Parts: sequence; C-alpha cells; structure tokens
Amino acid sequence: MATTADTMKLKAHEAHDAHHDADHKPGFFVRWFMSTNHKDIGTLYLIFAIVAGIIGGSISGIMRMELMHPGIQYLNHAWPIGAGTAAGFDEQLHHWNVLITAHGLIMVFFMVMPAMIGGFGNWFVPLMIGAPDMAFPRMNNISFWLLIPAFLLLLGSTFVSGGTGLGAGTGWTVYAPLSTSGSAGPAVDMAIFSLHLAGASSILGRSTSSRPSSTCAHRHDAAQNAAVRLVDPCHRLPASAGPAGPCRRDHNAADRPQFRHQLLRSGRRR
Amino acid sequence: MKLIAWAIALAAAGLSPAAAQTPQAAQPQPAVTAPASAQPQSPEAAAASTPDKANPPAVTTSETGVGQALPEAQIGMPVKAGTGLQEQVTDVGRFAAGFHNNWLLLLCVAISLFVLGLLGFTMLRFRRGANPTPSRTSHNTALEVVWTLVPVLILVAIAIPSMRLLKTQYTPPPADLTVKVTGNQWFWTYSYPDNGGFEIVSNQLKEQRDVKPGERFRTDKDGPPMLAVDERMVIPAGKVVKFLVTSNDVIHAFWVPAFWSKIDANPGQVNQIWVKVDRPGVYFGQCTELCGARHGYMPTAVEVVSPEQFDAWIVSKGGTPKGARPAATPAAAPAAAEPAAATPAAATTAEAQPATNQAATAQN
Repeated sequence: MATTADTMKLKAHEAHDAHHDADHKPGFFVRWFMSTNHKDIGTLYLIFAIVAGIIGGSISGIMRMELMHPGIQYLNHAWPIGAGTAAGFDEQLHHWNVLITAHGLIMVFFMVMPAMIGGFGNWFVPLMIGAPDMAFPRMNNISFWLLIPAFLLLLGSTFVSGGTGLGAGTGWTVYAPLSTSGSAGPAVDMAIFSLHLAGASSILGRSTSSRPSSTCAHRHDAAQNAAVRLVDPCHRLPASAGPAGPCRRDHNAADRPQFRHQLLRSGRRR
Repeated sequence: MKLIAWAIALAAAGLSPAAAQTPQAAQPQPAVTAPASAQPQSPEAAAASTPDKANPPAVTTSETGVGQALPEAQIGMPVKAGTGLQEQVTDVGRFAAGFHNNWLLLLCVAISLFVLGLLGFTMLRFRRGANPTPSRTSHNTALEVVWTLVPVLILVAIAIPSMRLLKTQYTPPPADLTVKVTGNQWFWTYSYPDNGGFEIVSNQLKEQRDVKPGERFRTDKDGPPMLAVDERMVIPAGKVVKFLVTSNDVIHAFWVPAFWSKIDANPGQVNQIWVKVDRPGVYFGQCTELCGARHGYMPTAVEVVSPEQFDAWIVSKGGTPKGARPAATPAAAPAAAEPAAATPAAATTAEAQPATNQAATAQN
C-alpha cells in the first residue's frame, strides 16, 4: 500500500543520491486520502475546520434571524440542519434546542479543536521542535479521518427522533437526565457516538505527537517532551469522550447526571 | 523602567477602591425606594400601587389581593434597552452588584486600557524605523518580577471580595420560612412545609391571542410577556426565606435576578439558597438550565409582601400561619390575630428580626 510514509522514506534515501526530485508529490488520492505528511494532514484539518465552521456559523445565523422578532418565524422552516418542519409548537421549540446543540458541538469539537490542535498542531509542532514529522504518521492520518464520520453522525442525528422532535436537543453539555430519559430516540445516541469518535480521533492525534519517534529520539528527547506539554490541551476531548460512554449506556436506562459530573471534573462548565 | 512605574501606578489605583467599596454596597438602598413612590407612571399604576402601601385588608378582597400585586416597571424584570444588572433587592445582591459595577468593571477597563497603552507604547518606541540595530535583550529580572506580582495582586484584589460574597451566600442565617421549589417540565411548584405543606403550581400565562375564549390570559397587571405566571410564589418581606430546590424530572435552575439567587434544581437532590428581601414587590426570573422544548417558557415570579399580608395569603391558600395553632385560624380574623401570633415566632429565631421588620414597614 502506497502511503506518503513510503514516499518519504524513499525520498530520504534518495536525498543522498545525485539525482533528486526537488518537488516530489504522490498522486492526488494517495496524497490527500492516505496522507502521512504532517503538513498535508494539517491542511486537511484546516479545510475541515473551515467547512464545519461555516456550517456551525450558519446555524448561528438561523438562530439570530429567529431572535430578531418575537414569536416563531424560522423554526417552522425545513432547514438543512434540523429537519424541523414541525407541526406543533413544541417541535418548533425543540428545533431551537437542536440548532443550539449542533452549533455548540460543531463549533467546539469540529471547528476550534480541529483547527487549533489538528491544523496548527500538525503544521507547526514538528517544525518548531525540529522533527521530520509526527511520531506516528499513520495514526495521525486516522486521527483526521475519524473526524469525518463523527461529523456526519452529528449532522445525521438531526434527522432522527430525539424525543420531542427530530434531533438531539440537549445542549452541548448533554446533561442527563434530559439527554437520557428526557430524549427518547436515536438522535442523542448518534450525537454521543459522534463525540466518541471525535474523542478517539483526538486521543490518536495526541498520541502521535507525544511519543518520540525512533529516528529522532536520540537527538530530540527534550524537544519531544516540549511537544507533549504543548499538545496536552487536547487531553480535554478524551476527557469528555470517556464519560460519554456511561452516558450512552445510561441513555436507555438510569438517569444519573454522570456525563455532567465528568465534565465538571475536567474543569469545563456550562 | 517606565513600564514598572506604570504597573505600580495601576496596582495602586486598582487597589484603593477596595477600601471604599463597603460603604458603597449599602448605598443603593434609598435609591431603590425613591422611584417606587415618586413616579407612578400611569394612573392605573398609581391606583394599584396604593393598596400596597395602605392597610391591605381594608382595600383588597382577601382572596385576590395578595399574589396579584401590580409589578413595578423597571423593578424585578428586564428593562427595555437596559444594560447592566437588575436593581438588586437583597443585601447579597447589592453587595455583589456593587462588587461587579464598582470594582470588577473598573478593573477590567483599567487593565484593558493599560494593555492598549503598552501596545501603543511598544509599537511606537520599538518600531523598526527608530531601531536600526535590533535590541538583543534576553531578559529583565525586574520586569519579570513586576509582571508576576501585578497579576497576583490583581487576583488577590478580586479574590477577597469574592470570598466575602461566597461566605455570605453560603452561610445562611436561621430561616424564618422555608419554601420548597420544585422544577417540572415546564413549570415550577412551590410548597410551604412550615405552613401545612400546601403547594402552589405556577404556570406561565399565555397571551390573549394564544388562549381559547374564556381562558385566563396575561394582562399587564400580571407582568411582562413570557415572565408572568398564574400563581406567584409569595414570601414575606424582611424575613430570611430558605429555598429548598429540587426537580421532578430533568435538571432545571431556579433564578430570580433581582435576588442574586440562582441554583440548579437537580432530580434526586436538594439544593439550598436563601434570600432576605426587604422591599415588597414582584420579581421575575426564568429557568436557567436547558430542560427541554419549553425551557424558555417556565418563568418564576416571586411576590414579596408584608408579613401580615403573607399570613393572610397563607390562610387563603388553606395553610397555617407560623406560630398559630391550627384550631385558631378562622380566615375571617387574620388581621388582628396575626401580628400577635407572628411576633413570638420571629423573636425566637433571631434578635435582629424586629429591626428589619421595622425597616421593611418604613419603606412601605
């Protein structure tokens, strides 16, 4: 299987030869879909963050338009996100909660974090510490590609039942028991599983930068340790992905605010 | 070195209001009462605010008078195009609002201006045009000490009043009355365990266009749109009231902005918060924890009345005024019986109580 890691290795050997290709890049598919290049992966993260930011920002736009006048003007429309053509008043109000939930989750987990940690982290950390690439480039790749199904799951959750209406209307904090016994249907499950995948993505992305690779360990130990501390903030997403598990299990059973307690423990507030 | 002088000047300027703050916290009290009596805004408002000040049983029919007081504009509710905090009516609230307005805000502005000044100074002083050979400065010990100490001092200056606020909020004086507040999807219920345990169900009042003919709808006497309720919580003025807050279904939060009181209502858990409101009136709030579709449609309305009116209201709801024997509660004669009955109860709780009662009546 041809990945850019193979290409890089070849290139490193070729570097000593007389003929070297100054600007060798793999083909489009291999370069962007099987990338092991920290810069390319960083670029992918940034593109993803921009797309997610536009979607999350549009949701905010819908909510602002709704708030402009008293009464309901827009929540009864079928917006692409949150299929809220809702017959009843309660469904329209639930639609608002779906929008604000999607907006919050998208902006935090699919815009800010991919841009900051995935995009800038991938681009700049190896450059700043003088490493040739991330320690585990393929893990770096799957870390990015896990975000795509995570995002699709979150967007998809707005088309299935979340209790009062379509979509998960729990707020981005997903407090039980509103998110468990208070929201019957698969929407909240999908949203929480989306957070799971995003958390796994974040864990992988963090691991890849926090272990010195064999090639540079002897020279860059101190620098790699600096990288560990630098990227440590992405600890946060795993910290919320962990409690999402109990919350998902609770969804159809108990009603204890576990997820919330975990969130508070990791220092994040409403 | 100029920087250090700047920083020290800031620290000195910033710290001085801390001393001046305590008197300020108590100051707004007269300001609260002035608008109430001085500016009846419409004839209707004037007419309706008189019963509040007169002897209640004489004017009102006992069933409807208490719990139906006319809300005053600008008090206990959002102000149109208003900025800042609502007028606070509890001691805790006045302290906290003073802390915010007269200290935190000043500190924010001062720090922002200081940083802006530093930026401008740096851009001007260290611009490339004026520095053909770049500085090779790597460190400046004095500067580092200052930029460590000044933030520490700022934090301390914020922490000390914060701790004072927390302490007063979370060390409640002995309660004169306990009200159990229960959140439901999507309304509040208030029960009075000290007075026989009767329960008030408080639902939002709909607008006229939203109700069937004959059903009750909101009027301006009930309060502003979205905030008015059919049954208000009623508490006595000048008394320490303890709220035990819990929920029947999902997490809600009980909040009355004018009281500076906000606390989560968790199912299976009882949280506590207390208020002492000296000023009679109607105060509105909303649920502040996302609780489902109609989260925005479960307001809180608290009516603060004189202790005598409160006892009359208790009786009208079928409860027992505190101190009165259940046998001695014919609803007809609460006005004469209550003061006598209520005084021993109050005297047992705290010696400060009579004084605050007088203050409350003086304001009336």
